[in-house]
Amino acid sequence: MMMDTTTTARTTEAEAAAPPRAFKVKVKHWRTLASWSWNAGDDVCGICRNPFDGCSPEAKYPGDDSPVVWGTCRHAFHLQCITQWLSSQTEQRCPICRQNWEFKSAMETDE
Amino acid sequence: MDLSRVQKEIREISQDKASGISVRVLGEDLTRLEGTLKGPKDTVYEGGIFVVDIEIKGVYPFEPPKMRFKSKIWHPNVSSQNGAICLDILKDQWSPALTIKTALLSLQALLCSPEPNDPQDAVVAKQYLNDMPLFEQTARHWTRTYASETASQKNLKQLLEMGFSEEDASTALDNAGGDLNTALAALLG
Repeated sequence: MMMDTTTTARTTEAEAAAPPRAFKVKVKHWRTLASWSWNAGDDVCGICRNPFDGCSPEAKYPGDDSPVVWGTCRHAFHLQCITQWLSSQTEQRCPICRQNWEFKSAMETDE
Repeated sequence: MDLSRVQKEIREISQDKASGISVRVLGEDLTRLEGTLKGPKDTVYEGGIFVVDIEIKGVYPFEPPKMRFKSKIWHPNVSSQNGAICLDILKDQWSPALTIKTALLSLQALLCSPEPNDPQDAVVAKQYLNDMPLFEQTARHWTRTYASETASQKNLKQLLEMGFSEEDASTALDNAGGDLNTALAALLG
């Protein structure tokens, strides 16, 4: 009981002694956080039907492990999905529009 | 097999009540499905519910699902004997962008517009080209006999009344493409 009373008294004393002043903060270090997503029109891959921001059934993690690629016909798929399709076919065609499939280069994709 | 894609597809079909198609899973895994489609309006198949056997192989969706009519059907592009289907997208025109649902819808479209020049059943195709009235009469008769819901219910009821178990009776009817006498013969062994 004695202890409690003393503590309370001290706090009150301190508040009275310190007049209100501007609150100053010094930032010592910070961390940044960014998010990104594939800019691929449709949000799911036309082959595996998983989101582009997710990954193909073959991959473990989204992102670099499961990249998204475009054809010159502008249709996008997970790299693993379209590769598996093309390797099973003699004629290389887009699964969606059936035009001849050619990979669009990264520079062209950057719109 | 891409299980998550097949699961997603089944869910989507069950949510869509408007298209006249349905699908259910047979057995433990997702390799064997059974689809149904309604005979299109204003065709000789109107009023029929056609059952389609679907087999999903391990390489799906990089190879098409195997489909076969379980209900007997009189159509130039379907075998009247075993239900085998001649449809390009189920063969060399398959694309992994297609689905079980689009394939069933394509079958429905095939019922609307037969291709007698690329037949699966030469006898039916010949009749289609040479004697349209007889073709239509036969196709309507087969629809009523083998593919109408009431017909299959009636057949099942009859077998149950004879004392066969529901499981045995419906399996026998399935195997017989809905034909009562064939099913009965099989049950009597």
